[in-house]
Amino acid sequence: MIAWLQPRAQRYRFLPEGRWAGGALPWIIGMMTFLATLALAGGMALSNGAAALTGGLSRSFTVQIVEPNPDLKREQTAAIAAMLRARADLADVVVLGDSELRALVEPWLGSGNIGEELPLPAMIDARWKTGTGDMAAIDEAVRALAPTARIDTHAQWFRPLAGVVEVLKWLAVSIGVLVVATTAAIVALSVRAALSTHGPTIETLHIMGAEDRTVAALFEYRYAIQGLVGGVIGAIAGLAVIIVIGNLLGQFGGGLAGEVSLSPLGWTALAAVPLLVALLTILTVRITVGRRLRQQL
Amino acid sequence: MSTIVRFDNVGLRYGTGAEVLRDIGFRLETGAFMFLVGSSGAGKTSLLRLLYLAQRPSRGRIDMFGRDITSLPRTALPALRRRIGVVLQDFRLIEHLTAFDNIALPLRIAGVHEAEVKAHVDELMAWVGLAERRDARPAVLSGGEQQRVAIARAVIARPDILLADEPTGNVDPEMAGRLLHLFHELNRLGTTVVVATHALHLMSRVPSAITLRLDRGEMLDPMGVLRNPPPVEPAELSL
Ligand SMILES: Nc1ncnc2c1ncn2[C@@H]1O[C@H](COP(=O)(O)OP(=O)(O)OP(=O)(O)O)[C@@H](O)[C@H]1O
Ligand SMILES: [Mg+2]
Repeated sequence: MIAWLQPRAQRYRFLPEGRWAGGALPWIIGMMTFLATLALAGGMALSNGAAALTGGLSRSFTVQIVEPNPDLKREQTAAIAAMLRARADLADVVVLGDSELRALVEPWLGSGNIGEELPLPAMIDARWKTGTGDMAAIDEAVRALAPTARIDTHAQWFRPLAGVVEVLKWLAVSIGVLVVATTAAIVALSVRAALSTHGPTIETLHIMGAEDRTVAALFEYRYAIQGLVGGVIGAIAGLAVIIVIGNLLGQFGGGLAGEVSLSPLGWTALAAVPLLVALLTILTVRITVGRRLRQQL
Repeated sequence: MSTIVRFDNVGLRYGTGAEVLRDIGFRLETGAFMFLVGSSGAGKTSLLRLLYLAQRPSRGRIDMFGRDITSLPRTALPALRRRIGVVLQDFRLIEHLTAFDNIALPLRIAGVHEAEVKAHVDELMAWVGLAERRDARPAVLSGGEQQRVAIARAVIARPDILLADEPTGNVDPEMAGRLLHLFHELNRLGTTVVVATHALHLMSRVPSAITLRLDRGEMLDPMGVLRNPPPVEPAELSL
């Protein structure tokens, strides 16, 4: 290890060299980091997905005009589209004409099978600029122009799914919190064992006037290295799994799978995990050692 | 002549047990040499523990270096401990460190520069006859050598006060005499010395020494000379 990074007391080997906690601690921290990385990535991806579901996707609705008389249908469609476009709180009002609808149903019916005589509804997509506005008013206005028209709000389809995604997101967050707490507990147990192993040495240093922070620094240094090694191992394994899963999801193409993705900020957060693990380790060590030292005068 | 240690009505109990020290009151002038005697279990080690700040008294007041240490916050104590040298009954050498590194501990804890540490430790090791054992670990040192390492460690940082618990307990009479001579030399150089011992015959080696007798936790001081000691003769210090 680079000499200048070491606390002075470490250079003097006040505590013996050698593997502490049987060398298992970095691996345990590594496994915990792996789980925390997955939970963090899952939580962030799901929260992006949930935002998409409750955001853009669920703010849209579709008006279907099911009128067998083509002339009347065209007339009603134009009237409703004009009414919707006139509203200031709506955007992206798009009329799906006959040709677009035929293209949509063609995969199911086969090309050339859709004759002019097949009655297709007319559809108008629209999106609320913010939130979901007064659907009842739209409903009323649409019915006044076309009594047989139906309105589909996308939110009604997405709401249960959004609920599931929200639950999964909080599950991921809880797993992350549990993993962090478990890691801190394991580190604290290991530090307590080390404190009693090195109890006589610490007491001797204490009698000779060593400050608490000098003694704590010896432990922090040792454990920071183990935390960093474990953090790096775990984060690399976690990132590998996330990239594989990301590629698998990517094969579904756009749509909802496309929304479940990580932002650059998300990737930065994942890359920072080993440092956070090392910091968590140091903090745990400092608290545990400090508590023990304050028990003696 | 200033007072370096002052006990007033000090009592000590461990946990909820009976008091192992009762009504201890004495004054130690800077530069004094004091023997602490008493039968086993009389409380010698307990009194020394109060002196090297490993323990707070359960009652009474202790002043050291002109400060009331019973009311000082914990954080102020390490700096005071660095002015105290201690030879413990069981040496407490650090097993994984060489004789050199053990002796260097107090200097390194105090943050002394490494070049200075090396010079001081090498000089003292030569003086106590351990130059050949520089890189030996405590496990391979003889009892007498370990004791000399412990004593060298206690004095390396030139403490204001040196405390020794049975420092002649594990060595032959000849070595005991030499160690006491070392303490006497340090005392002549100005260090206040407190030595707890069973070996009453050694006390005659330091004629200027005062004696604190403990009997089952109480001080035997019928004349009250320890509460109001005579000043240390300046002539003794300049010897
Ligand atoms: N940590 C402790 N907890 C409880 N009682 C203690 C503790 N240390 C010492 N004692 C008790 O305090 C009393 C004085 O013990 P101390 O060690 O001070 O005696 P001592 O004069 O140093 O004896 P020795 O000559 O055998 O070393 C004894 O009765 C002992 O049992
Ligand atoms: Mg004793």
